[in-house]
Amino acid sequence: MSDLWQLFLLSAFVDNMPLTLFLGLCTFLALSKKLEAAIGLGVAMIGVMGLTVPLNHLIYTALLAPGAWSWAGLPDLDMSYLALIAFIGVIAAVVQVLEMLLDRYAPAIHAAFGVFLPLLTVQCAILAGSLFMVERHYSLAQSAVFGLGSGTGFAVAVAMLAAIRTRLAYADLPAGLRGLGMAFVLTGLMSLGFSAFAQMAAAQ
Amino acid sequence: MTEIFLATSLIVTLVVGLSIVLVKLRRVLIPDVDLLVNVNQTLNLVARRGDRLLGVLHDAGVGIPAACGGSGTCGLCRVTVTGEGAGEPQATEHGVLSPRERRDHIRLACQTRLRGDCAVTVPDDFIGAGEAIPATVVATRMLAPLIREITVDLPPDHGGDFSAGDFMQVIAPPYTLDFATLETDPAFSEAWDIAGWRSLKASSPKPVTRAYSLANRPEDAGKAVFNIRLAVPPAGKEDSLPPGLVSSWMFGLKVGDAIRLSGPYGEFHVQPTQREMVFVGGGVGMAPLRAMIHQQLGRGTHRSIQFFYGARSVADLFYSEEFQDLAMQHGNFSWTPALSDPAPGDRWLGTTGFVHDVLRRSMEGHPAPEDCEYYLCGPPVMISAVLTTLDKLGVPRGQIFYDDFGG
Ligand SMILES: Cc1cc2nc3c(=O)[nH]c(=O)nc-3n(C[C@H](O)[C@H](O)[C@H](O)COP(=O)(O)OP(=O)(O)OC[C@H]3O[C@@H](n4cnc5c(N)ncnc54)[C@H](O)[C@@H]3O)c2cc1C
Ligand code: FES
Repeated sequence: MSDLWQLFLLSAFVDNMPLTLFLGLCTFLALSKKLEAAIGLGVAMIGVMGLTVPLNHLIYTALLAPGAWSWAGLPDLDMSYLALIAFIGVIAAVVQVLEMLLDRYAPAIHAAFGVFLPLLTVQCAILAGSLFMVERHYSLAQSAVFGLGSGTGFAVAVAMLAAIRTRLAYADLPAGLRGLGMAFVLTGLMSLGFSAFAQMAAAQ
Repeated sequence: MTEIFLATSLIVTLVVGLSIVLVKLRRVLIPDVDLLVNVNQTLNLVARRGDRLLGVLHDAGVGIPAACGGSGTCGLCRVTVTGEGAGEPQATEHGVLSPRERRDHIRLACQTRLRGDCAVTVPDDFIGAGEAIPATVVATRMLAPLIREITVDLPPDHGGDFSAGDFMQVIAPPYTLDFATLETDPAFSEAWDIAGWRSLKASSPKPVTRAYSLANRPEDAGKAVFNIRLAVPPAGKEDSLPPGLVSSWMFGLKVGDAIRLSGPYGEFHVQPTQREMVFVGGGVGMAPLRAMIHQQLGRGTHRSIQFFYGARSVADLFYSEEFQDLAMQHGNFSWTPALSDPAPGDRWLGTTGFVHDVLRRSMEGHPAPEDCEYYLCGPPVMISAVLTTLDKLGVPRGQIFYDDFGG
């Protein structure tokens, strides 16, 4: 297996954003009531993460990383502390573009997202993707694969949760567990399941 | 120094650059073109992409009622929209519109953002109804500590045609009002002093519209009579929350003042059947019920009419003598005021208890409560308590008509 393919699998399943790292849970729980909306969110996540992580990688290495300005005679300059603001700006812009594209070409998905699409701007899983990229010193190709992989992992997880929740619509749950309560329990169980992937990765 | 300069200019360039890209893309993706909105196949309106349908219709004088001011809760701005320009129903509309209505292309005009040409169907009498009617206040009097009766003289061409149960929309202009300057009836001054309402202040920077039911009797033809309840903030919140925008303005009106209205509108009407009628009201829910009862009795109906009205104490009870007189004159009308918390000084000998309990006790003695028609209007808590009571009495929902004032 090539390294990139391995990285893709690793980021999608072993380091699954909502189920292993518990990141991005608010949209994960809020948009998992209907399968359609969940798939829409998943596609949006793949798009946003697949774009923002490599984009942020370029900005980081070209402008912010320690030593990025040595060609200008400033080898000691370290502006990595600006990474957080820069990343958020890029993510916000990409989300806006995505919103315009959906509004224009897929109004049904746009209406299903409602207020959640603008919320992707401050979604922690997306920002975490870019921050991990810095921390783990990924190359450009690795960043792109990592972004797509994390997005795919999120999409798979949210679609699965939505499918289970739609089935549970007919279950006779105790009153206190209906809705969000049950969603939390399901998330916990799914996360236990996903920890099996970590075992498999460790055994390799 | 260089570092600070570089870092600052870097972030500024990045943000400005991203914004420019976004603005350019928006131009390309969402072209700012004129759209055509056709209303009832007679009116052609021009709008811009992204405009709200309600605003477009209002600007053209189409008087769609919008009691909640466009927040998507009252459901009064329902219109039928066809054409791809209407887009998909928004999440807010799913709570208000039934699946059947959504299938029939019914939308809330206030939640519909235009994205293309479309055709709208509204009841014909709404076209032109949105034009504000200029009118003059001819009488005001206090009925209860927080309720004022305001009588407005309508221009000759607008006074005639409304059905009992209708409401009108009042457009309050920008204003500021210090409650200390409000004239209150000496009979209610004590309540005002104890509650500390005189220290309140209200102001509004822009025109605001709200719905108010007509409380007209047949002899009020050519006028509009309103019962306005001053929406004071909940007790204890007087310092942090402002009082109601439009009701405060209405409370400050004096004889001779100008007022702008639109309408009338409404779907809360007496049904043309032969069933017995039971009216249940509370607070300013009095207004539409009063209009309906007067109209029915004035037309000499033979249907039996009962009116249950709930208030806290004698001070909150109004029009009581008027209904007593009606009950004396008409054998088929009975009037039952119920006080939930009569003051010791009230010397109240009538019925006590919450109005839904009083209704239940009375209807349990009725041979067939499920054959009567029920008309309810009042605060949402009262409506839901009465609905539960009627459910227990076995009254089918189809025989219950109510208006909870958009609550
Ligand atoms: C069909 C229909 C008929 C109606 N008929 C009548 C009638 O006959 N008589 C009548 O009196 N009313 C009637 N109403 C209700 C009326 O339209 C208004 O809703 C009511 O008068 C309150 O409007 P407002 O502008 O005065 O208050 P608003 O400004 O809308 O405020 C409402 C309340 O919210 C509080 N408030 C303000 N700001 C905040 C905040 N930030 N957080 C929390 N609370 C806040 C205010 O103190 C006030 O108590 C009717 C409504 C409908 C839909
Ligand atoms: S104005 Fe649209 S729901 Fe009230």
